Amino acid sequence: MQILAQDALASGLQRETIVVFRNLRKDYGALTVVPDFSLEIRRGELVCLLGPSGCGKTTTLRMLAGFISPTSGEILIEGQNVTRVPAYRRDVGIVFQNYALFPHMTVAKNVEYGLVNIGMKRQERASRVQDMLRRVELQHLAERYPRELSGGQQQRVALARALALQPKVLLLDEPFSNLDAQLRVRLRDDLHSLIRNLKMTTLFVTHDQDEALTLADRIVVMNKGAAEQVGSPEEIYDAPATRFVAEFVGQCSLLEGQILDGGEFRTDDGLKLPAFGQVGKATAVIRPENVKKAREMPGVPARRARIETSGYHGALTRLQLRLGGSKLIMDTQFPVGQKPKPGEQIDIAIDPVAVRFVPPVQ
Amino acid sequence: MNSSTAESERRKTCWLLLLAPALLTLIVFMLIPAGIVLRISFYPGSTTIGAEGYSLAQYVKFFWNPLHLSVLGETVAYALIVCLGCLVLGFPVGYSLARHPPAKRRVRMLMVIVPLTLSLVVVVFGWLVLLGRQGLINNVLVWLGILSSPQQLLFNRTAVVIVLIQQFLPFIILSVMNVVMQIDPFLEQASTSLRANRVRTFIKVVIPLSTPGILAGLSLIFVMAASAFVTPRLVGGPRAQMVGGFIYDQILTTSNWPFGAAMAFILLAVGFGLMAALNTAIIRPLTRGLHVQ
Amino acid sequence: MFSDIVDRMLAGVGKLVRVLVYLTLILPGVIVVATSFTSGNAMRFPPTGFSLRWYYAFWESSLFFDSLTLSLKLAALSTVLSLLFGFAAAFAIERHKFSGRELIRGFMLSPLLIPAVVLGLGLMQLQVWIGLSQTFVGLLIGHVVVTLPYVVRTLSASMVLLDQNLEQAAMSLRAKPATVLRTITIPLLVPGIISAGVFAFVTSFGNVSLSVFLGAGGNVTLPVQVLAYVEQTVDPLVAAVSSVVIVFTLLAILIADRISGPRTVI
Ligand SMILES: Nc1ncnc2c1ncn2[C@@H]1O[C@H](COP(=O)(O)OP(=O)(O)OP(=O)(O)O)[C@@H](O)[C@H]1O
Ligand SMILES: [Mg+2]
Repeated sequence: MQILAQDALASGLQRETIVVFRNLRKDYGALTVVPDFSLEIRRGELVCLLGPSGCGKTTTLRMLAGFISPTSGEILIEGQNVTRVPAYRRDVGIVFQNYALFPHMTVAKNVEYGLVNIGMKRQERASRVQDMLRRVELQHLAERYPRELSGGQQQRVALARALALQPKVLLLDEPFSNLDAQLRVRLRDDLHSLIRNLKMTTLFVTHDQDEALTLADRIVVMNKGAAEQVGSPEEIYDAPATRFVAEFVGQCSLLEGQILDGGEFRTDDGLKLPAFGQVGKATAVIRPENVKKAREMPGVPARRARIETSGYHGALTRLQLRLGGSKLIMDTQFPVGQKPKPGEQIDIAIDPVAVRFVPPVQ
Repeated sequence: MNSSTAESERRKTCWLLLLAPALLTLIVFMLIPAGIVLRISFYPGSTTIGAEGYSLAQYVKFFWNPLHLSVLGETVAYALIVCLGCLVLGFPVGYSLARHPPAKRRVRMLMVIVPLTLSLVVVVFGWLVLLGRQGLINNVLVWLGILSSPQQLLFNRTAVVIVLIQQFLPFIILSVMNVVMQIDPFLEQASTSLRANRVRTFIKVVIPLSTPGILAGLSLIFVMAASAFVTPRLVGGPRAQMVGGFIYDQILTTSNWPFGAAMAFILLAVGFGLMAALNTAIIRPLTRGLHVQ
Repeated sequence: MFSDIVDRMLAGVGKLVRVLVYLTLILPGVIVVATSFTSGNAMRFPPTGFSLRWYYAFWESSLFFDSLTLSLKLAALSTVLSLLFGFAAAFAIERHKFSGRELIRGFMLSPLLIPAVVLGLGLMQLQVWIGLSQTFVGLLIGHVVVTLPYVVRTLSASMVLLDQNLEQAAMSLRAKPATVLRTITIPLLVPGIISAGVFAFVTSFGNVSLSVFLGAGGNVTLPVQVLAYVEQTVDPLVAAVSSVVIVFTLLAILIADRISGPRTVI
């Protein structure tokens, strides 16, 4: 108990705010790309910007790096207002989507580049480069040119190059999008442990929810240039704040209805669920794994649903169900040979604790 | 806030400083000279020394003399024929270059680029040798029995047109090549597989897509051909005069700068007039419909 | 059936035209070089005998040899100047988004559209007024004006192709703008710079239409000298001189081609 408390204290001390975005706005002429973005990133934290294509993730990242100047609002790094500070004085490391390795320099020279710029001594530079290359396991490729490397190796060089300067924040813009699926998962884990070991404060951009859910300490779900919800992966997944977040992260069924006085949610066609929250119109969010077979949830009233389609999803079977006028998705397991067919009926129960309510569509 | 505006001011100054040398060079040594030519053309006398006042004397002198007018007309005719010849001969070459694989393109590109960059006098001198009484062409024609004895092939209009066309061919070849390379070959293949034969494909797909770029190249050729003076001087002889040569004489031989200036300006006006007309009549409407720049 | 025949005929005609065009393009140069080795006194083709006597005559002729030195000096200087001015201008145009960019870009290319007689006469008069008339500097200025458009166009094109992420990556690695320019932008633009430089050099080296106005006094460039000579007489000495010009031009283009490929030369 005491140890836990001390840990919390220690990490609390550690966790001062490193980066602040305050009411950031970016217009291109009449087009507003980022209307109003605010966020705080704490030391050692890995924050992920997650959102659909074109929602302004890259723009936000580049404003922090100093490549794009915001129309209004401010950016603070370690308490210093850097909104008008040029990129080369911001102490921010960045890994680009295409890695942007200098094609006319060897791997070692690429990594050394920033160290030369801060005027580090030759000896020290050499050992730092060695150290960085060892960390990303590329010592043997030091004298190669970028075009002689595979995509994964290029990415690690880019990472080593950015980390060599020990920046205050590391920015990663979809670093895995140029890699194939298998390599992607492996490199993701490598990257994760590397960043953890260095306790690097990191802002990571992706439109891949799996990547965000596995890597991030906190996720910022972006929609049309604004932060729609900020929270831990569990919060984002289990307690989405809006319909957009619910739909964008993971699979879910959405039921429109009313929350009534007695703590009850009722859909237009009479399906009832226990509810808390503000009385009035609402949308219920139900994750597929929270729709169970009736006998798995004894205390909960069972309902009979019709199976519309059924398909394999790895170990689980995904069923599309019709329950009265509503559609539900259900992930569950069946013994071999007992998988139900479309058209059959099934008795289900919805885990009442796992249902979330979000504001309805306007 | 103050320091940040100062910083952005400084940055703006920095960009201006980068632009300044080139911009100033062109303003002082191209725009101002062009203005000077315009000014000189309104001097009344036949010299700029001590001249003042404004008069239309030079322009009157030009347009009142049928000889001058016929030379101007002939110049425009030369320029148009050269454009046409360049188009007919240059299009197939540019087109096939664009569709060649890069490895095969190399030598051919060199054959196009070297004549383009080679000094004009050297090229024209080559033609003097080629077309001379004891030159290759005469010898071949006599050998083939087409001519019984060597003829004077130089110093006539045909010679001027031939040499001018050769001079400007590289421009049109490169324009066509650049334009055609931007046309998706699949578009053409799609059209061919839709059972349009090669001719129809060409008319329906390639020509509409490439017209704007090619016209731009052609108008450049028109302007340059109309102001040519080295070629007509050396291979044209007295019978094939062009305005450029006339102006050259007025400036360097007769030293009548005001009259030379007036003619130079008329030349400039003809060239720009044609380009403006082409642009509004053909290029603009075409590009609007096609979304091709 | 019928359209097939038309198709084939067209293909045949196309081939013929292409052969004719390539032949026409290179024939004048080839003939000049071939006749320059004649041992006779007259320009004739095929040439009589083989000798280097006309090259020797060129070497002895101070008239032509001085012009060659002048032309080389002029071309080298105007290349350096227009590369400096053109690089700065292209960099500003491509890397700084200001209103009126397109206007400036068009203006930079506009010398291509001004007839040499207009530019020549205007510059002559201007230089009379500012005391540069018939000087080397006056000639140099004219050449910078005509070579600048090629440089700006070539460099602009290669800057557009340069991945801007590279410059930004360098910046995030604490490189000041000047350092980025020195260590990233310029090294990566070397092929474009060479192309632009070669094109400027050859354009200046071969220019006759402007030099004829600006160098009428003492500064006679090689092409102008050739023009003056050919107006009097056509003899193998000019063929030798011209061959030297051809060799210089060809060498320059081949160097650019080796380094940056034929597509980038223009
Ligand atoms: N220079 C610009 N001028 C005008 N609009 C721009 C500019 N840069 C970006 N945009 C627009 O801003 C929006 C956001 O762009 P941004 O690159 O930040 O998206 P993103 O979230 O990174 O998307 P993706 O996942 O596809 O990379 C897009 O709609 C884009 O078209
Ligand atoms: Mg992006």
